[in-house]
Amino acid sequence: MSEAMETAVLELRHVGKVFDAGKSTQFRAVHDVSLTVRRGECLGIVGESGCGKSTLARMITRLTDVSEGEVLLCGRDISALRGRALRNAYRDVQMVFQDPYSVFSPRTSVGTFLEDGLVYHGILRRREARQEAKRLMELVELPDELLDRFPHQLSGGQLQRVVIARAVSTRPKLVLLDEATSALDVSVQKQILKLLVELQRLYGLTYVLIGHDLAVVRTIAGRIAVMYAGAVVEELDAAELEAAMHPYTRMLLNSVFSIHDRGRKIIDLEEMRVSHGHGGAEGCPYRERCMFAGPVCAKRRPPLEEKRTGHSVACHNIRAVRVNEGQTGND
Amino acid sequence: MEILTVENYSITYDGVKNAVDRVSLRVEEGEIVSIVGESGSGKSTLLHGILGLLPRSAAAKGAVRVLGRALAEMKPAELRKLRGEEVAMIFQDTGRYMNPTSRIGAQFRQYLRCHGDYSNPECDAQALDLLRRVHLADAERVLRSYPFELSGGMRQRVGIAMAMALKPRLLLADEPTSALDVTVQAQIVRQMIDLREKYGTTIILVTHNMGVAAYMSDRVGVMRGGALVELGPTERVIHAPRDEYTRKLLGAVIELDDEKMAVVAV
Repeated sequence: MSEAMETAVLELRHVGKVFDAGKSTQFRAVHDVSLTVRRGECLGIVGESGCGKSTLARMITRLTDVSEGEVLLCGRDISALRGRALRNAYRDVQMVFQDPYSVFSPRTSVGTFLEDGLVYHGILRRREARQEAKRLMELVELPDELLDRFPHQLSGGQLQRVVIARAVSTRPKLVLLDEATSALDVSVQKQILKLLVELQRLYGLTYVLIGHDLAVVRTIAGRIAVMYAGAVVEELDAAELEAAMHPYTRMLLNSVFSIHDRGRKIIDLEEMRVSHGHGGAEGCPYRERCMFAGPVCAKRRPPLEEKRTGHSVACHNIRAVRVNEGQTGND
Repeated sequence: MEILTVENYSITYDGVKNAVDRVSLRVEEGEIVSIVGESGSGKSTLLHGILGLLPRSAAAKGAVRVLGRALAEMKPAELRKLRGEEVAMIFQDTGRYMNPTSRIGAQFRQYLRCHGDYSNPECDAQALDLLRRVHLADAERVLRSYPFELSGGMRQRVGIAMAMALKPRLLLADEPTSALDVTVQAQIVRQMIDLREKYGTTIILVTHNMGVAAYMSDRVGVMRGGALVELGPTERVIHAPRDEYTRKLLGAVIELDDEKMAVVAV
């Protein structure tokens, strides 16, 4: 374990985010999240809208303040940095968002966009930056004629490549990919994922990939953390995804449509109850939607516990889930 | 019975390129047909054309016949009757087509009264019934809510309930699950299949999600650059695609059991 500690690029210790919602009420968007990402690793964070995954990402990149806990980047707590120290820390953590058009100023050319990052962080002077921008374009397999173009003249896929080029240009320690391929067409999506994997190999980059599509996350993530209502409910190796134990993860898996699913998958509406509560402060946040919820689930929040090596689950009723899966498997 | 016939149908914007390019499609009553394709392939424009919802800048050529009647020859009053009573449409974000300042219940009343002579209590009773059919748990509360008070998935179900209010024979669904979470998507898919089972509703689904299309449709059509490049029974299109582009598109779909792209560094 100590070896893992030494090489951890990112370590989250009991990180939480509390928003003020009205005069005397508070909303806890992220609840006690502890995660470790080692160098060269890709951690996938999956969950549905409103589960807190993007808020978590924004805390790691310090785009929003950290309410509770510590965010350690290569062993150094960045959760309380201000001013110049924070600015320097930004260089080490880069982020790629879902919609590349929202990242650009419509009046900034692609070349200037790439140069700005390098100049801002004092890596190169403006004059040298153009040459580096050309190299970066080559890296993400774009022709360098595009350097003089403006965002609206590029396709979404091309633009996302430019964003990725800028993200890696500062040689960051960590790159956060927040639904980075979700807005792209399927054929483009796969190309971008391949590019990300290629860059990871080339530079030994460390990724945190945030997404809602389990299939996409699984293809490039080594480990996967599943979030529900602000908390991590399961963490496991991506290769072990089929062995997921938490009822929520099971339901997510069951919601993915494969092109070979015709007539095979059964969608049970009763199983997919919709609830909008975060379950209150006490008890399991998932209990209102959970078909296995018992009395204990309302009383105590299940802790995230390691059930097998490298596989942690926060659920009181794993045995019940397993029995049920066994039954449906025999049908 | 043939419920929809599209013949050599093209749509041009400002006389430039064909957004829809000589598409022909026949749909039988009770069928579920999916049209898949990437953004800009014209799949959504085609669907809008079928219901006569194109902007003024668009020019359509060719023929669309709904229930044997040519769309181009219909008078506004006839079109109004057709929409809702015979053909209904749901959109990617149905909430955007609702009135933000009016409660769901009031919008149901307005919708029903456009098409028939109903009293308020009759409208409410029917709305409650419809909302329960789409498995909305707290139907009374939903009726009293404004659109912004509901989640995207709930609004989409309200949209489906409203679309089904007059038991249309044809439902046009334009990316109805694309903005939704995967678990909610599964529910909406199930509900559309239920509609066909219970009422024999014909459904034309436009989607970019190949998995959803494969799961729920009898036939799948693939569009590219405005043209319908392939159309056939789902099994055949998925397992033995004839068109090169269909093959490419299917190859790009990322599946849960795909091989990993990356080996994790140790």
